[in-house]
Amino acid sequence: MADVSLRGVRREAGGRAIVDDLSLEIAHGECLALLGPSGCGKTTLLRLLAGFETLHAGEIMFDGKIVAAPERQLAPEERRVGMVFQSYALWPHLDVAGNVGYALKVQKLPKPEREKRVAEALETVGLPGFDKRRVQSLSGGQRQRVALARCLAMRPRLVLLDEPLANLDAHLRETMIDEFRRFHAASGATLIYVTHDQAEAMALADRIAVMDNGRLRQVDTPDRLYQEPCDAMVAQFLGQGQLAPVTVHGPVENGWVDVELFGHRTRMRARPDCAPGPAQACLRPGDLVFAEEGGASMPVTIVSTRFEGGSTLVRVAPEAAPETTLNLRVGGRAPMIGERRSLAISDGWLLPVASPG
Amino acid sequence: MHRRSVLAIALALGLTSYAGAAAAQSGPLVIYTSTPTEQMDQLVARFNESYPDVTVEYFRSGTTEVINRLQAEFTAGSAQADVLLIADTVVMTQLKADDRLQAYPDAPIAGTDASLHDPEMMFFSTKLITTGFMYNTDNVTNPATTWAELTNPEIAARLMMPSPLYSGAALINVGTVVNQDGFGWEYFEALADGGATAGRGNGGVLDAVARGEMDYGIIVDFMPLNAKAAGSPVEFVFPAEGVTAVTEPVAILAGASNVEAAQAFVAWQLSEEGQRFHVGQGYLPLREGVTPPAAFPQMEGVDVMAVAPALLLEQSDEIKQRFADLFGG
Amino acid sequence: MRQAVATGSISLGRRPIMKAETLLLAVLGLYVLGLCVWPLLRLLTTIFAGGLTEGVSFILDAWSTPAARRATVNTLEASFWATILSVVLGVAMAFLVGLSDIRLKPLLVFLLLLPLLIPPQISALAWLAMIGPQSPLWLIPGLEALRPVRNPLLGRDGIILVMGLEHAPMVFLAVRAALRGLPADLIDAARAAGSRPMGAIARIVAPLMLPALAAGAALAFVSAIGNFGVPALLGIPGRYPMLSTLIYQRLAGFGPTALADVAALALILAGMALVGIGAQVLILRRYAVATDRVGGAHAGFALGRLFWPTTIFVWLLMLLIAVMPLIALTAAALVPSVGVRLSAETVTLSNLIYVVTGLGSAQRAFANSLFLATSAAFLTVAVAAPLAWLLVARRSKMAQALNAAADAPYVLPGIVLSIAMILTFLPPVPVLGISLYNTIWILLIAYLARFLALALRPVVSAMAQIERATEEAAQMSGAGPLYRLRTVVLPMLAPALGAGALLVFLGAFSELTVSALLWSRGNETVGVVIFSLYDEGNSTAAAAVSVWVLGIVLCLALLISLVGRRLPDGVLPWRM
Repeated sequence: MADVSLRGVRREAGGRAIVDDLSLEIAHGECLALLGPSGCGKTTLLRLLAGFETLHAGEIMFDGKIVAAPERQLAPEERRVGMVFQSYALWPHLDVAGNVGYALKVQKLPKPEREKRVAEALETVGLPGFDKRRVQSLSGGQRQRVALARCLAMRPRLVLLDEPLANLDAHLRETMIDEFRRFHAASGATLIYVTHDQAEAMALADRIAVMDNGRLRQVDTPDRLYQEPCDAMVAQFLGQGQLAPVTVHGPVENGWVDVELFGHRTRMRARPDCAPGPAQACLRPGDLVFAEEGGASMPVTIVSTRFEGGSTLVRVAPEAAPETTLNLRVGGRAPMIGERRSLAISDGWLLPVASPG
Repeated sequence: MHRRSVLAIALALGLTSYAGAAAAQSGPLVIYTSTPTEQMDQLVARFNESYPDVTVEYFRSGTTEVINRLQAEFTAGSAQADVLLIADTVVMTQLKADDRLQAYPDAPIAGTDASLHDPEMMFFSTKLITTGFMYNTDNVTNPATTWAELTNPEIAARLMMPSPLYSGAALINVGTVVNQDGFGWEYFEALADGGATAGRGNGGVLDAVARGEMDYGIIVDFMPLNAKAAGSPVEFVFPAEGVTAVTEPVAILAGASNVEAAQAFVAWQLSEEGQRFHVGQGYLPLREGVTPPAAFPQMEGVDVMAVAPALLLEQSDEIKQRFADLFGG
Repeated sequence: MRQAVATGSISLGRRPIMKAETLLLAVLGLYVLGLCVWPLLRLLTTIFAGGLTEGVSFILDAWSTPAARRATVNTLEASFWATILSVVLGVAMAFLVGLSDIRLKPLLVFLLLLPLLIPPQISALAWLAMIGPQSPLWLIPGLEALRPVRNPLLGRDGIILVMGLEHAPMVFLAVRAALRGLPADLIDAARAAGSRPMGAIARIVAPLMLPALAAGAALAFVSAIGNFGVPALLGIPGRYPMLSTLIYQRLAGFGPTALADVAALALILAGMALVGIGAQVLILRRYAVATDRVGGAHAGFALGRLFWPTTIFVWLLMLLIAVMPLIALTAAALVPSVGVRLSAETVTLSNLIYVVTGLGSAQRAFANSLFLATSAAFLTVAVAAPLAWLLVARRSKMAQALNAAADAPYVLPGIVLSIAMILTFLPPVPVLGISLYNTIWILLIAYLARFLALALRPVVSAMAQIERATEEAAQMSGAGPLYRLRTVVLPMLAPALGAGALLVFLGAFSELTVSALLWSRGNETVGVVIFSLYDEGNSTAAAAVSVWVLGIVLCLALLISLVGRRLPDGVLPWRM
């Protein structure tokens, strides 16, 4: 299987850098998600890996061998990389077996072997017996599975996925996420998965690379990204993070430090090098709870509520800073708008100070 | 397209590779012509009865196409034809001046009017084709009998004629008429003012008048006469002032490869046998003593307006230009 | 060129994978340059036989004569309006057939394509007969008042009408093929957003059809400026000269400068064609949008209240433009001599019998034209497909240049091309050492040069509409350029290839102006035979041959229809 290595990769278009000095190492067998808002360059990066775009600086290596450098790039058909497209890109003039077995035909695999692999692939994605069906007659989910099967049959060492679930409904997306996990396990390939949907990324990936404006902001496990975002962009992009200004009092002990926000004192997690003084905290909805008055809570007013099925998202404004809002989730009965309640902050993360330069 | 009878078939492959092989009156003979295809087939068949060893290949098209093809071949440096048989003495005169023809001094022209042939024996007339006018018998109850009447506005508006810009016979017709006393360019100006239509060739005129699209048409003789014999509602008039005449000259090209066969062909055209054949096809013969086709009046009864080909050649550009100005061609 | 699948090791140690593509480009380049460019250049050199400055002043002189200026203006004017007419009719029919529930669509499409089957000169003749004062049309009660004294078709308006109708099928074919590929969702989305059907068509479908429309319009325009048959029959007697008839006229006065004169005028036509094609390229660039073709095509709208009025109108129209000329033609073939009224007493099959049994040239012509048209259709499409792929998918600049070069032999009058061919192919061909002149091969070469543009238009347009990811997916499956061209691109281009092949076949089968100078005994073509017979005053035989031609093509179409079940959707435009 492959490990993938990008070093100083840069691609420009129209005078600006779409991918800017990007370096990344991906271990083999890993599933890495490229996550970021529209226009951050994640799709371009994927296409650079596939070979559809050329890089202007840096290099890309598969398994230690260079596949792309400014002076020479290996053609896509030579890279032995599978790809799942957002539009599925199934060929309408071939039936399902024809689509799935296409790469095997290219490799001139003998017919019995080819048919066997096709059947296996279809079985794995849950479409046994679909060989002769025409692609026009399939539903969106089925088409996506055929696209997956097409990849599986190839047995590639690296699979690139370009927002493959973007065109599916929420329920189908759930099913397909499980599908992808099975696919990952079955193929043992390295997966690089582009998406703008954090839930997908967090569900599937071993690591997530958050991108913004052509650069990597943070590459980490979903858990660490969630718990310890490295800057405001990452904090807010993932996990419904909200930022709040705090004042740090005292040194960091065992990863925790005393802080004060909106006149309310509590403890938050921080890096060891966190210095006293003003700082920004990243709060998740789960870090906030309604509490009894007094002591370790601050007065807030309910601004709005939104029922979300199992819980309600409540937006509150601290009385100390009425123009800011904080979000939290509650179960059970939702509070009334305008009610005054007490809010306790049980956790938070202090964003590291941006290093100069 | 006026009638030019030149048979020409291009050689299948290669150029003049038969040079040594041609014995007397045998071998391939390439003719370029504007004679109608059906008639050419019959002519070749009859010719082959006397000369069975000559394989005739011909290229037949409208005169414009025939000449263009010749011209392109000249430019490319390799003319293919042995014999040219077209109904256009003006073109023949031009080709003679360009040294493209060769003389046949022993041609058997005795018994025909020598003035019909080129004095230097470079080209020879084979038949007489006159130009008069025709009318549609369904539409016209009181037909005109003279050229002059055609200028009446009611007639001119329903008159069609071939254009000298596209048809050699028309060129000769117009050129002859404008050089006659009492006609001149005023004649055609009157026709144009009256609304006469100028098409391309004679075939189009026959078609238009026979179908009743037009009532009158200036046209060569044999077309409406043959059509009438087949049942078309048409009649041909030899105008009282006289007809213009095209003779259909045949010539041997300077670069001909089978000169003997070419000369045999020319001689056959002029012979009594050949002339009788032409009559059978509906043309007026040149040779004395050969009976014209039944549909024609006696030759002596018909006046022929004539003009020297050299004069026509000189004026040909001007004729075309003025005609174009009048009829917007 | 296969990578090492087993070991999975990849390195950049081999040369870039451009070899097969470059070879393809070289072959195509040789074909286009050799067939389309070189003969015309050869013709052009006749202008400069006296030197460069002399040549340039010669060109300027030729362009500034009143006749040339008038002919240029007329050509632009008539061609422009004819194109408009073709577009209106072609698009309307394409939309009707593709998006409505009008009945008997295959028959309608077939009737619409009929003008392509009939040699253009014969079409013009049939129209003249139908509108002329003697037409049986005016015998219909109520219409006597409209009977004209002089045929109204002679002149500019008649030219526009007949050319517009003649070229409408090209627009139709292009737009129809594009409509096939339009996903139903796009229209449904518009209706969901509140658009009435007409609104959806106007706002959503029409803009997406623009590239195809541009392709069809460009083709119609280029066909119009180079059309000879219609201006010859309607323009000359109608005192409306156009560049094609002017060129023909110049050739008729065959002096030493005739060829150079012709070449100079031909340059004007080439310039016009460039403008037309340039417009198409611009529109393609701006409006071509790749759509996902996997979704099925729209089922069509119900015409509802408009059903009967539309049906009646359309069928009347088809009757007028397709059926009546055929009737007039057949009537002309069944009378013993031109001008005889068709009646129970006069009807005769003698012409029809004669032309197939007694007229050797007609028999040979059928066989020759069939061979030439079929070969031309296959070969031009075989060239157009990879060229379109190189042009669109690989963005090859060279392919763009070749695409433009292919237009020259199509837009110039056929007679000009044939002269160029004679100049080029009369001398023996290098390597082979034989002259192709006076063989059937010079005809084939001329047809290949002439009709490449016809095949390219629909194919290039269709290529531009194929989604990029379709080919990329094949690339990721390891397919090299030629393999995916063959297995993915070509099948998806199939409808356009079919349309192109059909256009070429029909154009080549009844072609006249190119063949007029190039044929030889034994190598006659159908168009030449028909027109010779007409020119010789034998209109009935000419009509008879036309009737046989129609019969043969109809049978062929039926045959292909029956066999065509195996063909991908949309290859045969009249199969739904």
